[in-house]
Amino acid sequence: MGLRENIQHDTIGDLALRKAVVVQPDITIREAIKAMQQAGLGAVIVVDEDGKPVGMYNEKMLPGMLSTNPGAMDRPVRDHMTSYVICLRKSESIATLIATMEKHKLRWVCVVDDAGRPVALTGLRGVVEYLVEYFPYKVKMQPLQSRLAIEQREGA
Amino acid sequence: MTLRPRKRHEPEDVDFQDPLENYDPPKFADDLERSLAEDAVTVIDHRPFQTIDANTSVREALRIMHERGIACLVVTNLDGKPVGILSERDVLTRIAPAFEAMAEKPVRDAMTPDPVVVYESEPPARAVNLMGSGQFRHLPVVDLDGRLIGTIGARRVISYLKAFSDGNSGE
Repeated sequence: MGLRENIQHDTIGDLALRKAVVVQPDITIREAIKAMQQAGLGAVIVVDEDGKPVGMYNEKMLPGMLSTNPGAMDRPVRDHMTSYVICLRKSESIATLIATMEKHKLRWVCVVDDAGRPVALTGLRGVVEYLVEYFPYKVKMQPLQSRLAIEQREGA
Repeated sequence: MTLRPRKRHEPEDVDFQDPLENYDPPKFADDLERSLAEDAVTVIDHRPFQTIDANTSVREALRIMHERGIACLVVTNLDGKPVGILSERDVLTRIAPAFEAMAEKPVRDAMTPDPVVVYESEPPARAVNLMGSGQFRHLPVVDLDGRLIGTIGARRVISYLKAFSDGNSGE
């Protein structure tokens, strides 16, 4: 079975998922940033009182906010989040995840349980990690810190 | 006595062993696997890219990232060689928590210095490994003289992967 078949067969649950960081809409962006830093993630999911996703705040929004309105750091995250959150379930295929990210130009996708509550975060990096695991010999044998064996051209 | 040309298969040749007789050429399950191992990393889209001078202010760098929708700026020296990277993750971890203090400082104070690079002649597998290791989000691609010719991020790797998984060889 080749990669094309495997990404149809394997599911989002087979990826190395990160636990989603969920925040309430009324916390400040400064607090949201701190939560992202502590979790080592580039995004937080904003949830309503039922724990359902209503938005996302991510690192992609920071350059724009800081360069145009740095005072917004102390505003509630609801004022600056995107309500455009795409959610998928663990049972959906990796091919669906890739197609969804390509179609909507997403970096992160929220993984939800059957009740629609966030359980994990995945995205482009999760798929790259899957690719590394899929081709362990071809990919993992590559050195992380190598330099060119010959740093200057040979010959005249 | 006259010398005669030595013929093949005379006793002197008995010990000769072809050094390649046991060579098994690599076998690949599909085009993607072959490409990962044998193509040059430049088969992955690595343009466009945006460079910036190390003396540019952090505020100006953020403006460029915002207006051009760029996730990472490569800081280059006068030779065009990468000396640092300023990514959205650097903005999150170093700039945002102390923006007022950082805004007018030069990018060199906020960037990740001495980035690990991928040479244009190295295979895509190396870039994928670096990104899959979790340590690198963006990689500068350099020519053999170390000058920047592009950048690779996760989205570009996925587009490369998708071209193969859709049945397009990518060539």
